[in-house]
Amino acid sequence: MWTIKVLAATAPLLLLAMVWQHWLAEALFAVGTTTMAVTLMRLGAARRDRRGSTKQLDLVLGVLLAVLSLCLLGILYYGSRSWEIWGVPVGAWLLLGGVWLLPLLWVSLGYAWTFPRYGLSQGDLRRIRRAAGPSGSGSGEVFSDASDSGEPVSSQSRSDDRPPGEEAGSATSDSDRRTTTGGGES
Amino acid sequence: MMPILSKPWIIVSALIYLGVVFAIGVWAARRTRNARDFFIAGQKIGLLVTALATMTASYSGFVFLGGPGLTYSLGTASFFICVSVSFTAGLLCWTVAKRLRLMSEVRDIYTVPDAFYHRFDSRLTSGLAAAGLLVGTIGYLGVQFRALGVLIEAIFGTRDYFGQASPWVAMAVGVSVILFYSVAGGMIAGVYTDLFQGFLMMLAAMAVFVTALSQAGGPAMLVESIRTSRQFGPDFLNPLGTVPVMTGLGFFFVFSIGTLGQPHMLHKFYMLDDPRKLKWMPLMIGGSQTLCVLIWMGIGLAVPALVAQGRMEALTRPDDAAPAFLLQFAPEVLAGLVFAGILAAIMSTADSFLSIGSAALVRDVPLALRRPLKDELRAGRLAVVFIALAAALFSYFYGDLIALLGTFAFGTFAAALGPALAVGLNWKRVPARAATASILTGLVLNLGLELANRAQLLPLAPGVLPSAVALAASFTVLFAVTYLSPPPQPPRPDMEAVMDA
Repeated sequence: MWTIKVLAATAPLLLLAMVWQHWLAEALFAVGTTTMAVTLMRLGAARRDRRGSTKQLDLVLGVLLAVLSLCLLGILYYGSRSWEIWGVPVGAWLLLGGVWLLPLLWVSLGYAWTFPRYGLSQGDLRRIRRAAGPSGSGSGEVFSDASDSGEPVSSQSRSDDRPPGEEAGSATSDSDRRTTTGGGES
Repeated sequence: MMPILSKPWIIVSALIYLGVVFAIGVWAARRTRNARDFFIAGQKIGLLVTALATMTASYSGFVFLGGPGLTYSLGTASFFICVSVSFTAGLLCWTVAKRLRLMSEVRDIYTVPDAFYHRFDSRLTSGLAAAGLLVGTIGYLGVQFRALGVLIEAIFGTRDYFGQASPWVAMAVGVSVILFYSVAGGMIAGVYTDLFQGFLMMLAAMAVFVTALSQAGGPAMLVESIRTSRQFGPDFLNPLGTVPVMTGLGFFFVFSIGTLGQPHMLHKFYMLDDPRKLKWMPLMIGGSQTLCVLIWMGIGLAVPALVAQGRMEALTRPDDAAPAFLLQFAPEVLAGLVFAGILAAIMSTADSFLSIGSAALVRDVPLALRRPLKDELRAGRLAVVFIALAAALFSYFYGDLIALLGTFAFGTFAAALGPALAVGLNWKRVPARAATASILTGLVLNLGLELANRAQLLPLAPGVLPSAVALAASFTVLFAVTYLSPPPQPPRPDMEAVMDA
């Protein structure tokens, strides 16, 4: 649950930073933005059905958070100074190198590297399709019957007003599900 | 002399491009048989096409015309908008893409409001999401239409024929072509034109970047010209040299976190044939976006350098930076290619918005009102025409730089849809009322602050962007209402399986 707590604390902090006219507020806003982005990634990547080590993920996202935060703070610091490298202000180098080019490769390759553990496998897909029941829209088999009128045919279409827990193929008992208060977050 | 007569290759390139797009529209119309084909391309699209379609939908007249124009006005501060492409594709894939795609595996989902409905079991939430989507769509389409008018006017020299009415005549011509293939071919036409347009945009961006640097005398000369000029000066190259700190950081905040609420990008994930192909999606989207950003940076920096060197007249309208550079400094064949690439960028985004806007109008809003339409395919085609007209009118009445108009539209989606979707898909504790409150806060605050700020009725602190306030407030309200509400009933088992995966 720590990711939720971090996000819940960051959002009002960003709001306050925008009305507080102070250099510290600007620094908080910079770090808050990168913290929110990385925490959202961490929240989405977490899988309730994958317990155990999260070192891979934390390494990728931790480095990203550090690089983005330091570069943005650097841009703020050098913003009021006329330090230059080859005629280009240091802030511009940090923006182009540290915020743009470096994270591009790191994030793209980091996502692919962590995908086998935090992404999807064939087994995951089978399990999700089983949870949908035989009439789920998986792989389009339900939609293949859709008529020219464009009205799709599904037992769980939006015209379905049954209360939660009444559909076919329920994989978990209602009482079990009611005890769940967490999310994808682990 | 007008470009049409003095530079025939430009007009030939533009006509070839329009011909290819027209042909794809005809081909796709034959393959569009039902609403699933029309709205999500039958969910049969592979990794490359999905990635390029996502990139072309996100990169538009805003990036290709508005970007260089904004850099000409603000200097490197404008780069705060585009540099976050380094991680936004990863942010999208980690936070929402997998679960959105899996939701379409177990439910009938065509649109982003559909996702709200199935996640929260609430018609009010999905109806409000559809309303936010329609407001943002009209704004974003207005950007594309404005950019289309600027570009076609530059290529065909319509001002000589139509005078003051020229931008609107030029816009009408471009909108007619978009309407043809969007109405006929729906999303199938959209994604396959996106594939063609995506390659064209990347090729054009790389070529023009090299040309821009070379015309400005190389990187060292470019930097020196700008630094020593009276008009621009060294602050032009400093990311925080020309704007308040909160403007630069606000751009970064809205255009990074706000990506999570962009329906034209999110919608593409439904179309992927196999969700496991998401593994390489950040590399494909981020890589292609990075290549396209080169046109923004290349022209955006070369034009001030050329003005500083006295080789180009100062621009009276910053949005003319790209067309003016191409007509005056690029080789004719390259200019033709780049004009076609910019047309591609504008039209690919416009067709995406026409498709998702029509889906919101004929599917999401009627379902929220419990009055589903019988023939969504036909109604969808009519809705495309209606939305295009509304966007053209909006563009006519809202006079501003393309990039600033785009910032407002992007911010609307970001604040209204982003927080509820990003947190709601990943945390079961979020109830429908929190999502509804968040959407309403984002939508009302973004619109209200934008209007009040423009009318100088409610001046925000210097440099603070209305969109940034709306986005942060939307997140805050989401968490506050969630914590103050009792825990909701757990999701249905299929949705729970999706959220646990």
